[in-house]
Amino acid sequence: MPVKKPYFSLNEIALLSLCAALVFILNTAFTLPLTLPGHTGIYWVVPVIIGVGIVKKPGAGTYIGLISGILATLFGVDTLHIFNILIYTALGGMIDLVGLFLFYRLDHPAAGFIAGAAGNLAKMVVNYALQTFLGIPAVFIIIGIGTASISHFIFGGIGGIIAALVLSRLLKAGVITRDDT
Amino acid sequence: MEFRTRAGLALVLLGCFLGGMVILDTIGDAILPADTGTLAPGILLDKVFSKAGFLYGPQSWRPGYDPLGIEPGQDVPDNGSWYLMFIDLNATPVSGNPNVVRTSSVLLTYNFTGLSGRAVFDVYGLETPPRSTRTNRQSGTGSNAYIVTGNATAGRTSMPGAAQLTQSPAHQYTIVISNNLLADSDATTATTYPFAFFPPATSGQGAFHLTPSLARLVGGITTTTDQDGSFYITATGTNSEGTLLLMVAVDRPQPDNFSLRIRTQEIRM
Repeated sequence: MPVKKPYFSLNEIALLSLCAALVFILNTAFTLPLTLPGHTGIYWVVPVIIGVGIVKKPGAGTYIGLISGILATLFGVDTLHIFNILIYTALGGMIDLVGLFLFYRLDHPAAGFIAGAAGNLAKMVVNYALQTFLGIPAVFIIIGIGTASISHFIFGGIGGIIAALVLSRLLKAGVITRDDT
Repeated sequence: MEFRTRAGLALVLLGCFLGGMVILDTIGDAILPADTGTLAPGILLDKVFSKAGFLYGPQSWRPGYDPLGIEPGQDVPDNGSWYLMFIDLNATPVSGNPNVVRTSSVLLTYNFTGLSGRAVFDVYGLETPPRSTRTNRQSGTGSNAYIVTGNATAGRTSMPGAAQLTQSPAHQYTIVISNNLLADSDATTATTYPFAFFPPATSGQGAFHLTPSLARLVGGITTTTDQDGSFYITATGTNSEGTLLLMVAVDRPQPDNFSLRIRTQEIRM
């Protein structure tokens, strides 16, 4: 009877889980003295893009987001409690989609920028949607959303470039390899 | 479609999304006009405070997880010498889903006599630990404050009833309010409220907004020379569980004829 091969190998699951833990650790250990919305994206997106860029399978980013969201919920890091899972999963899921769309060339700075920016913007959208659902008047969300979007875009993009540079160095060092297909 | 084309397409889509958000921000006030509410009958607080009500200072900071600046828009305490007064407003704005709770704001009317220099209004909402005491955002996007400037001659070099608040490494403070000063009542102990701040450092900031008009609920930093006026205190996020306190900070000793009348009413949204 043929054994069904798991979608993610043991090594991949371990790597993705480590990346998820790193997202959580960076969120708790780093405190940038910036009051701009979305500034945490500069380091949030790095482990997610690196994990997706190494594993190169649909669902990798979503898995990272799900695990990091569960960790954030369990440790009470953010104020939205269990809804953090949706926020983190949205970030991972969007980076998944961008990775798939760009042939997992996330070691390219442009692709890294796009993935980081899109992931951070997805996090913003889900965060604001949840706050509206929980009763904050929509007018509070909409006023300032332009500035918030731009800052999420910039910080996410910078984080994506950082991740792309790390991935390209890992490729050059031979730690990971690029598929020929 | 090759990689470069896809990357270009993705950038275009992101650009369109950003443009849409900027447009939404610009027309947000028009497409989502705020409910200006109705004034509920009754006055919740009507009290006059003298310069004896300033119990704290001179100092450059106000309570927060880390000491917050008082100069509006400035996060880090500067070298200012402010005198602080905390007032129980006997009112609390109610936030939440209007389909579930009856939301409300607080209308605060002030009348100054003999104000010298600037008076800054900030608010604090007490919470049950581990929720942090909440306050209006001090700096950055969404910062709020209400500032009144007066031209009376400054008082003596110090305020007799004021003493500096000690910074707390445990991020907790016991604040004496000025509603019932010992000198004015038969009480033997002052009325105090606990302020407790928990990580992250910005937790609780931005929960309250001071705005001159309910048409703009998020408010901002408002500066005026009107000695008589009013503003609204609105809330976002989960509902405050405790008392709402007003902090009045003046940047110099006040003259003996200083007085501040505070009245609060509920605005039902």
